[in-house]
Amino acid sequence: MSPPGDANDRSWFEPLARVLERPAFQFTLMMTQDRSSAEEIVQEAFARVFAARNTPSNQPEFKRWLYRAITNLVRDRHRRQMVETRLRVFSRPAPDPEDEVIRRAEDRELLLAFRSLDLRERMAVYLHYYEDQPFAEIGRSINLRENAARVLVHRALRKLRARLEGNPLAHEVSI
Amino acid sequence: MHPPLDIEERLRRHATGYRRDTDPSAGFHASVLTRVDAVGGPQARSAFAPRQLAAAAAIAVFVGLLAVGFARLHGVTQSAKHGLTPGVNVIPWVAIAPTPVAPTLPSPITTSPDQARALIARTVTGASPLVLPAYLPSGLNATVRSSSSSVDVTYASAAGDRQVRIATVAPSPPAQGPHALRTLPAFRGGTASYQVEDDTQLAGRRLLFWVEPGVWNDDPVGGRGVPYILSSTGLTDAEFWQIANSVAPIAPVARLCGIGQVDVTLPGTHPLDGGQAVLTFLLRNRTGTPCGVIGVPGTTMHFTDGSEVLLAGHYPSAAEVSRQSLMLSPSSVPTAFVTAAAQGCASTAHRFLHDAVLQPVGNAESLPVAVRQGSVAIEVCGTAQGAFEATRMGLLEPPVPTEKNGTAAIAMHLRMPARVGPGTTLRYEVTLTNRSTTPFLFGGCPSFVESLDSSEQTRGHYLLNCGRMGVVIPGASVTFAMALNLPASVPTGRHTLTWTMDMPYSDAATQAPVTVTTD
Repeated sequence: MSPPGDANDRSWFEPLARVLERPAFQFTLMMTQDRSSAEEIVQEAFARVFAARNTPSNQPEFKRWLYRAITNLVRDRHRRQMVETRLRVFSRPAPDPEDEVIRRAEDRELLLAFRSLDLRERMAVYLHYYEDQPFAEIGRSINLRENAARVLVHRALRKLRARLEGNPLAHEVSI
Repeated sequence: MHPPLDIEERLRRHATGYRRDTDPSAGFHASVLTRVDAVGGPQARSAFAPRQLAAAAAIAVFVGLLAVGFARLHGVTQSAKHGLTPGVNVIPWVAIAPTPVAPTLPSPITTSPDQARALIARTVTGASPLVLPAYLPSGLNATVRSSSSSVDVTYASAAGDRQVRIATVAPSPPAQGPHALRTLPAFRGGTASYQVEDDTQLAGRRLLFWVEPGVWNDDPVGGRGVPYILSSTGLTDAEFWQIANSVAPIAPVARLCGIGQVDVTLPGTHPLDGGQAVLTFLLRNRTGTPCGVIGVPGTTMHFTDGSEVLLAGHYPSAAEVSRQSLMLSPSSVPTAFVTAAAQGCASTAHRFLHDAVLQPVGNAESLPVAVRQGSVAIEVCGTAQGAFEATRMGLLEPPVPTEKNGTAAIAMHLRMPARVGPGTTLRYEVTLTNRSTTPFLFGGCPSFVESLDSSEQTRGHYLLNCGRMGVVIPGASVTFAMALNLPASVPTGRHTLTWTMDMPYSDAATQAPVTVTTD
């Protein structure tokens, strides 16, 4: 199936959206750790990809385009947040830490460590471990050579290990 | 106590749950399409205008309401000109409008500590031992947020200044502050982890983590006991330990399931791709109280030709078998399964099962497997002991949308009539096949969308009539009759029917050509 001549015909697009919107949302949520932002970003990314002239219609290539659009939007949001953080006088109250422990259990510690990675490292780790993508494919998504993607993931793992090992109790009670 | 997990393993484990459980909100797909429509295709692309979005959303809602109204008013009564001969064992078509799914978190119930205790003892059947503190300071009310396999109860004073909380949780404590104090005291026959969040505060937050040896259905691996957390705020160290030391089981510790207490059925077996045959045994606790199965059970099967296949006595290592313990709640239908697989069969032989028994580890008794003699065809390769290996034991649950290797767990196939007339009902069949290695049972029926050429005029949104389908074992299929009203204005010629399940199974979509003709 390929994009048809009529620019507003989305019959080729809807099946791709159905298949990819869930993994795209999961990917974006992991980058932003905020549901409403993730949904907003994925919607905007789909709209941008649909509106682009040369958007490919085969699924793997379409997915790569979509994820690149998401990456750009997440990066923009991150920059905006940095500015807002500098301007903010009062910070919002933190969520109840015990609630988090109860609700998210094992996830929380890992997610906190994950947040310490820079954006590109997060993406590479996510694509490799959560979407089982090979390094060559990760490289294509974030504009790196295969070896550079591999190094990026290994460096991120080292950071995660160091971060998690800084919390000795995690091991003492890990079941 | 288990060794710490490597970070890669930890990421993979987290990924499994994350991919399974993380969904966007219910109307997300519609929101994506609304946004896309608002922006338009390449030629129509312009700066993003909120007014356009609002107009598109309004149109989408209007069209949606029209579609629902149309479906309700007309029903699906007309038949197609060139109908499809219904297949055997097809689940009939019923037009059921989908309803929003309620959040899965249990609602909290506020009650007295004694009533909370009775409520928890009655409802939590998937964790044993089930423990609560016997002693609590006076004047606390309980808020219970438990499920069938988890406890979460908070006891709090009216002012909220004194709180005690106990919950089943895979523990991963919060990071230490500068005044935190952490120790590893002996507790209930093992070692616990005790944390005082700020030791300069007399009545600050205190947390105690420990694991009760037993069986817990919320443990994805199984066999690791029941993890608990007890915490308090507004209580001194002495008060906290008075509560902690009163912790005791509130229900009898579950026994192992014995013969006569569990029904075991073998619904059949189907070869999978790559020469793998899988047997699926279904387990049902026929008594009125929960019982436990520890270890992946072994099996002996005798065939009518005199051959036999044994699973008993040949167990893979714990690391190779997922799940090693399970609580079976009393139920009128099977709630759990055991799978056994034979890998790399070059050829399979068709044999008829005479009888079989299942033998849970930790229990000397063997449970007879219910098969009608000669009625279950088993395709097996080899007759030697150990040809099959037990691979998995688990609770029957809805399928995960996507397997770890990225393939959809449900394969779909459409069976279409040769032709259909405009203004009639297109009747066709959809077959869902379990492509995973795990049997599944939908908890609630998923919804789906059927549409001709993705047009709003020829689009239906319904709930799958899955109440009759029962357990779908690996490799097995279930077929549903489908119907779609076609307006008289549908142009003749070749069209494409798209059939897609909604979240979380939206990875599963299929298309088939259909010819509309007035002949």
